[in-house]
Amino acid sequence: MTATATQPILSLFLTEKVATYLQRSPEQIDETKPLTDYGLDSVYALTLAGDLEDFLGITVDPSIVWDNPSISELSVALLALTQ
Amino acid sequence: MGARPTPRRARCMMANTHTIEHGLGKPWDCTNPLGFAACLHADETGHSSREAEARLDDLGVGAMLTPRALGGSLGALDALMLNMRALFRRDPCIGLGYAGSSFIASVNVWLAGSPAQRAHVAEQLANNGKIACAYHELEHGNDFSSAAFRATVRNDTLVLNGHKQVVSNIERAQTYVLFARTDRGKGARDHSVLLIDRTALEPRAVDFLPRVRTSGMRSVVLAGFELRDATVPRDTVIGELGQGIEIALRSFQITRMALPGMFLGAVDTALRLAIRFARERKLYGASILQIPRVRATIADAFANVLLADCLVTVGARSLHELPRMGSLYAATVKSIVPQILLSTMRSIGTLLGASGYLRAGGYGLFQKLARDIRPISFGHASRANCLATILPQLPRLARKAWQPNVARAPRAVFAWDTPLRDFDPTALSLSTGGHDPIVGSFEAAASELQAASGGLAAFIHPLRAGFAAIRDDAAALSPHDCRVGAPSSAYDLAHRYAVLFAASSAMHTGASSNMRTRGFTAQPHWLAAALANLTTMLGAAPPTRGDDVTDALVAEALRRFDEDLSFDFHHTPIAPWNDDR
Ligand SMILES: Cc1cc2nc3c(=O)[nH]c(=O)nc-3n(C[C@H](O)[C@H](O)[C@H](O)COP(=O)(O)OP(=O)(O)OC[C@H]3O[C@@H](n4cnc5c(N)ncnc54)[C@H](O)[C@@H]3O)c2cc1C
Repeated sequence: MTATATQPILSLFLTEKVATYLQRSPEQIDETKPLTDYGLDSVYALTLAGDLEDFLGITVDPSIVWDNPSISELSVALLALTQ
Repeated sequence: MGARPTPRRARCMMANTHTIEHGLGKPWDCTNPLGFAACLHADETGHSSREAEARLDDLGVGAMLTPRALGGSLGALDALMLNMRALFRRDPCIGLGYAGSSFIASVNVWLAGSPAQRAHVAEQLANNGKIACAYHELEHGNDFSSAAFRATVRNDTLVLNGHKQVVSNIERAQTYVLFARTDRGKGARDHSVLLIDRTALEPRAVDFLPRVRTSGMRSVVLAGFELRDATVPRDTVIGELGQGIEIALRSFQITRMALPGMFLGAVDTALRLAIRFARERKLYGASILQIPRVRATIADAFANVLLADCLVTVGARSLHELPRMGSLYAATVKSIVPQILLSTMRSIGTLLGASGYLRAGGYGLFQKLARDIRPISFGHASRANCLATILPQLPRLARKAWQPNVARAPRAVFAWDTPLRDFDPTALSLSTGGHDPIVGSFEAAASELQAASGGLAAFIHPLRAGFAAIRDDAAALSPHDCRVGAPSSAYDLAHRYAVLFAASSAMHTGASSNMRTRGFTAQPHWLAAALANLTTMLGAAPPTRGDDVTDALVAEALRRFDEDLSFDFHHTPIAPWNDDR
């Protein structure tokens, strides 16, 4: 999976995950908005880091989610992590 | 006592609990400032005495809380827990007020402080200073990520505004570890932990708030402060600005694991009172110790103390051997061990009857212990909070970790005569990475124990069914059911997880070192009782246990009473109860 991860793929994955957590449709998620604005707290960051580990097959420290509050920032940081 | 080989560290650990017990003096000596009578008096007056504090200062407790690299004796966490337990065995107020709250505070500094900050705290502790852990604000309870106390960066300084409440020792501590908001957002990078010296605060900027009175821990002085534009240097920040929640979550892995293992000392003393009572109390022409119901209560209480010690020891050792598991295992231990200890305390209270309700005399201590122990369940992470930490991890664990052939925990976690790896604080993590070697190897533990001790099959069986059920239920959980607002049934699932963690830990420990050695914990009796109690906690019907189990437990408890040995797994010598009163 690592080899094929690109920023659009990561964004799409994150948007779908966040939409699932919030029980909304992906179109309702703004990639530039901090996830905390949607009410996603530090617990969700842990869940998201776990889902990312399973998706990417690498270790993802939840603090990367804290340091990159929006989906677009996070996908850039994750891309750097996979390379 | 068994012919278990005593490795070097264990001997040094024994020497320490022995030194502490000896330093605390004879418990029933009315002239001892640290005797039970003095502790009860401190409870009645709400203050510890000067003499008591001076005697504790002589014990060098501060060094016990300080890592070896900084001149103290803190090494293995299970050893620290045992030493602290000796203090709680005498008086939980001493344990928490004199030592435990400084421990909770200082761990933040050991984990993330600069060399200068670490040296400062070590020096304070060496001089018997108290470190106050100022996290809590009444408005926010356990939800510390909502803390509102502000530290605003202004050039090279921080300007502090806000209040902290219900903090142990805040009125007398020289040093505070303070949790403050350093940014406006709602994220996890908006708080910082600060190390602040009292002398750095201008007196006009500080108002100490009135003392808060509590129903237990009454000789621990709880209070707060309010700061108004107090300016402190920027280098008071522990770690980096914005790292507060992360530092807290790492530190809590150690402190949440260790606290229940310390509080266990209070139940040790309560059980000792119960045994003395059961022997002395004559009804219907004989000691009540002949009544099966009384015997069963003592047997259960003893088995629960052993079980609780097994869990906290496995937990503490896992921090050395499986540091990555800390976020999950500390919440698990903190959710279940208090429950076991509190229910044990309740049944001892029932056994003592009216005697346990008196405020003076030979059993007057019990009502104090029963009040003192209660914060174990809501203090420093409530049970609900711990279950809420476990819950969101379960679906992934069910998928990844609770499968056949997953990696098992290192031997040293369960075989306590195996030396531990040095604790590596940098290996603590915010997430487990989807691993769970202790519950993941539940089936292996069950099979091995059953092979080693066929008589336990009936006790293992219902727990196996419980494991199969939780695997299915956790896999079916949606992320939406894992929020703070999750349905109550989801919390119940997290509770069942904790019970199975306990069962797996107990079975592994039983199947491991202790089955090969002699001594009471090498025999299956305690496991039969402990597994039956865990089955009840799962909400299932436990198998009926034979009189042989009760008789063996009662006989061993009486022996330990007579020989002045602790009731926990470690059966360490305690200051004598038996040669005076
Ligand atoms: C003896 C003693 C010493 C103390 N020493 C210190 C100290 O040195 N430093 C310090 O900072 N503080 C200290 N405290 C304060 C202590 O930390 C707080 O009292 C405690 O953590 C907050 O508890 P609370 O009951 O207000 O919790 P709250 O968070 O208000 O919780 C109340 C209830 O809400 C429910 N609940 C909360 N969260 C959840 C959730 N996620 N899911 C489901 N239900 C939930 C639960 O039923 C919970 O019991 C001390 C307290 C005592 C009693």
